[in-house]
Amino acid sequence: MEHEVMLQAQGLVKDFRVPGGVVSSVAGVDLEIYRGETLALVGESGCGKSTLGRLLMRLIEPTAGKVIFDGVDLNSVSPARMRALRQRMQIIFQDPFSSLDPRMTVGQIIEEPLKIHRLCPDKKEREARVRALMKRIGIRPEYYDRYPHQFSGGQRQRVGIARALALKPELVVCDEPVSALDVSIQAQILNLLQDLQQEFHLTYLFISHDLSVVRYISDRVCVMFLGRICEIGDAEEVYSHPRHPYTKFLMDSVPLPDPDKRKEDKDLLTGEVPSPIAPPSGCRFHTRCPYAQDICAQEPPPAFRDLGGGHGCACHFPLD
Amino acid sequence: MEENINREETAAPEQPLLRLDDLHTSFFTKQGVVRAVDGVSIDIPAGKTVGLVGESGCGKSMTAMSIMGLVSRPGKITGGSILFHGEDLLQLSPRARRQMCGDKISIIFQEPMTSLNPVMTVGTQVREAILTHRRDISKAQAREQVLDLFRQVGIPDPERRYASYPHQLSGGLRQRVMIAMAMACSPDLLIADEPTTALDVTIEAQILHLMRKLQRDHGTSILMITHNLGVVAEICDYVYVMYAGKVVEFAEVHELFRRPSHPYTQGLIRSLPSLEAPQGRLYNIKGMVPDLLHLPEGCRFAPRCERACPRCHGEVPPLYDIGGGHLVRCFLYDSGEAAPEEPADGAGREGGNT
Repeated sequence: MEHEVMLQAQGLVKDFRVPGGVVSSVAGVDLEIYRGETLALVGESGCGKSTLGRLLMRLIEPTAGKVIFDGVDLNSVSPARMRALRQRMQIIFQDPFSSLDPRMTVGQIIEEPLKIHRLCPDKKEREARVRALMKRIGIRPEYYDRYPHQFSGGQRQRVGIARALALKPELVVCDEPVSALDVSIQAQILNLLQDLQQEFHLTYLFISHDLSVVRYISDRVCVMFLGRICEIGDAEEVYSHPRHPYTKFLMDSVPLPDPDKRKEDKDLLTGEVPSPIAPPSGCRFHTRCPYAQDICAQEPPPAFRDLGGGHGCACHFPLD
Repeated sequence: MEENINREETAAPEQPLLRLDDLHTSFFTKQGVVRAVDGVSIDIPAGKTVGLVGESGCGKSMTAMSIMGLVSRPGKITGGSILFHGEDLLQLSPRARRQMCGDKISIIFQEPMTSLNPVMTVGTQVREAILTHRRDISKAQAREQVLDLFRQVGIPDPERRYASYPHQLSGGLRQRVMIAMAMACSPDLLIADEPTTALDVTIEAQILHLMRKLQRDHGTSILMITHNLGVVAEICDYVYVMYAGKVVEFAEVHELFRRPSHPYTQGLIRSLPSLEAPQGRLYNIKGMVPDLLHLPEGCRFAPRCERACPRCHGEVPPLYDIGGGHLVRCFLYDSGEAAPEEPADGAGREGGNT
């Protein structure tokens, strides 16, 4: 299958200065996002997935490396050009409570990007467009003048989605979009995101810590640990046949809604995530990895071992 | 009020450690009365883990707060009883109640950071908890106990951690400290309110493992409050599903997942994305949880239910026993021999008696 690369990250690094040292939140990431796919970034808190998402949209500047969007190096374009590019990439945030301005009506919130980008100068037409979008997204257009606090979490997340889609973007970064929602609402939003992807030919970068949600929504999965990618590949391939020990343990840790498949006490990943200020030498996972050998503590694993079919794994000893 | 449980069939044979009988907890707000817990009856057998599962606002946390006596104004327990070792906690003096909670009943919350004192070392906090309930031991002895507890809950390097402040610990370690504190007085009942929700999945697995181990070693009963059906399946023996202030289904855990019977439970399970297999479009329950101030007439799930009939919109269904103590609050089960008779008007609390 031919893949058109929409966005590419090359050697991305993002350091944050913190008391006591420097944290490389993203420590050298190469990544491609193909047009029309859903690529999921998955990992535990502090693995750098959100930081990577923000770097890819140039919401923050990288310490090193670059991001190429549709052939354009985002870190060297003029501000005017960047603004134009921003129309094509939007973001949906996790918390539908703090990501909407409480003093704006939902109509104004969805309308704001259109105003900023002067896409629809006629006020009447703009409002009509917002109402149509609200209807599509599942919020009654009559609620145009209501405020965010008058809505439930699920509805607020719909407002956030409508705002992101107002500019008809090509790439949408979804940063934990359903983590704050109840199960029954989560399913509604996931289905909505899928429908919208079809309808508007969207490309999603889907950031999540929930492995079940990721399996459901994504075409490809990228597993991160402490600022680095440890495994990437087609979702079905990665889930049915994880090759990096960390991916496997992550999946084995998820409690399944089936009491016949209790983990009881087997295969527990011991220990805590190491400190990002002083990450372990060599492979960053070696302190928790049951398969680690001497070389794992000494040398970082080869950047990517291609295991075929675009399935890559950064490990000295990939699982069979 | 309309509880209709045949206790002999539903609960473990002997008297349960804790029995909530037709508990009502309401909030009296300017906008009206919110019936957060509306006639909930729950049994927790000794040494077992009982799950209380539901979505936000279903009343599961308020049930826990009611047991602990932590309901504050404008909330009030307006009816029912909380029998612990056969004694009604609601009839105890506030002082005796406080002594009981903490000594025999402990609670851990979702976010340990907000339950721990930020300006006191974690060791001192746990020691205080011990000294509050044990007057007969010295500070030095209490310290030894804390270190021993820290070892039991798997805190590495306990002596160093004793002197740490909460912010210096990771979320997983903080939750271990909370569990150590909760276990300090060897409680008979541990209430865990979303104990792993704020944790990463590998840490969650460790904490669930720890809770299982503590239960095995000490015979503690656990009331596990969660929205996560995976956690329920992993650790619980019995499950109560709550919706809008009422229990809508009760069963032994294997039975519940094998034969979910309330349309709400069925919907919840079907709307879960699967980790194990690729999946077509997700099922979703239409609409959303009702506003507790404006509850629908009749069955509270009826407006969202695909199988609702006219009767559901007018009458509140009782709990029907569909066999082996599996209870379902739904008129779909209003036939067949397993279903008990409907309660007469004003049947009141009779359903709670054995």
